Amino acid sequence: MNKKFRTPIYASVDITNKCNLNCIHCRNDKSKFIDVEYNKLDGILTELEEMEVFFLSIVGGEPFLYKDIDRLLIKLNNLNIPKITIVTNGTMINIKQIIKLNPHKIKFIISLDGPESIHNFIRGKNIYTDVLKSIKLLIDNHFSVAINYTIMKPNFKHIREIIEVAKKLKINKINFLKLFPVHSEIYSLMLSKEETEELYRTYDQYKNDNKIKLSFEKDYLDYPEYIDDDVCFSVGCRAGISQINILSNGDVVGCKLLPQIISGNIYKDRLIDIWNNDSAWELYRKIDENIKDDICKDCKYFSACRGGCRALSFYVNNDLYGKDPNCTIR
Amino acid sequence: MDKIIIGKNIFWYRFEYQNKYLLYSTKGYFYIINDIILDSLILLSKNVNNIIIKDTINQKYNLNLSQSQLEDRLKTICGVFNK
Repeated sequence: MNKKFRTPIYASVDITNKCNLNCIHCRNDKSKFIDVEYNKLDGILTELEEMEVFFLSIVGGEPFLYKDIDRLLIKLNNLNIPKITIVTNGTMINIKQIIKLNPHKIKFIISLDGPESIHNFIRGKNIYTDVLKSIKLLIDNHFSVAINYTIMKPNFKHIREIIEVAKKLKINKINFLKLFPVHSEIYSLMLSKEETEELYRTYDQYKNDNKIKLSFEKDYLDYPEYIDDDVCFSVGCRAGISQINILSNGDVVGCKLLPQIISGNIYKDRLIDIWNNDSAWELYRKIDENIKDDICKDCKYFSACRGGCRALSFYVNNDLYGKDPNCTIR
Repeated sequence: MDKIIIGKNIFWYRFEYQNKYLLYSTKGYFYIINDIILDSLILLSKNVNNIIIKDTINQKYNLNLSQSQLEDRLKTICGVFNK
């Protein structure tokens, strides 16, 4: 089987790196604020549509601070891409913009990292009430809303509370996200292995709750890896295999957590040419061959997870091909 | 990109390589399937009877698939997608 897909399944575009919050786990480069030029963005979105990408995610910074957000929303409404999401902190959502959007077309993902005091602490501002109002506004206007909940020490004991809040608000889904130690200040927020296992136990009590859908990176272990030669899943590290990310400066990267590994730039090359340039993606497309952890290769999940998260290994072990420190199998 | 609707599920698909297709559900699951399974799913989406699906596929691809072989494959895809 080919190592990469013909074109990406998933594409994310950081349309701006501007943000109105100051989160404790932020990995945004705040030294220079850049928006993707609208004309370039319009062309890239059309190219992604032509490449038959399944899933487009509009991300920031805070996307609603993008200078041409109104033009962009109209463009998104008319794109023939099956699943389009806007990932936002939920503080800037405007009813005038929302009512122009097609709720069957565009979905929202809003960051909510715990009950009120915890969320406000993590996000650096008293915004919890505003976020809940935005969620209600979207749901009242028939949009599908999911929550992104980044797991870290201040909030890992509060997932029960947030599940209950989400159910009351009629939110469809909560995505529990890993925290990535992209700089040293974040290390102290990361869970220990024991805390991670405690979190998994709590999560397992809820994962079959039929009132809300929960997703967690751990979920992939419940999937069949290969059903037979024709049918397969693609999980594990997807960078450069099925996933592409465009940063606000135009850099094209496989993994947003490893923005230093650049495979091209939209201001220089066409996206399809960047994707087809195997040498530009070699670090990701040869993961299976380069993984150093022999225990990993013997693991029954290896064909599916391909060694887990390479970014975590890079930041914790200083080795792109080392052990995923979050793995609880080994 | 084309889509197939089976019950409440919407599946999108695109040609991938070597008679393989990438099938995506808006529930977030992916499969790589061959043209035989794609044709079967398209027939299933039109509420064609399973026996007729089997006969049509066997005739078109000159195969001798049993009813249960084909049903198991389709159930696997739709079942997992229904999770």
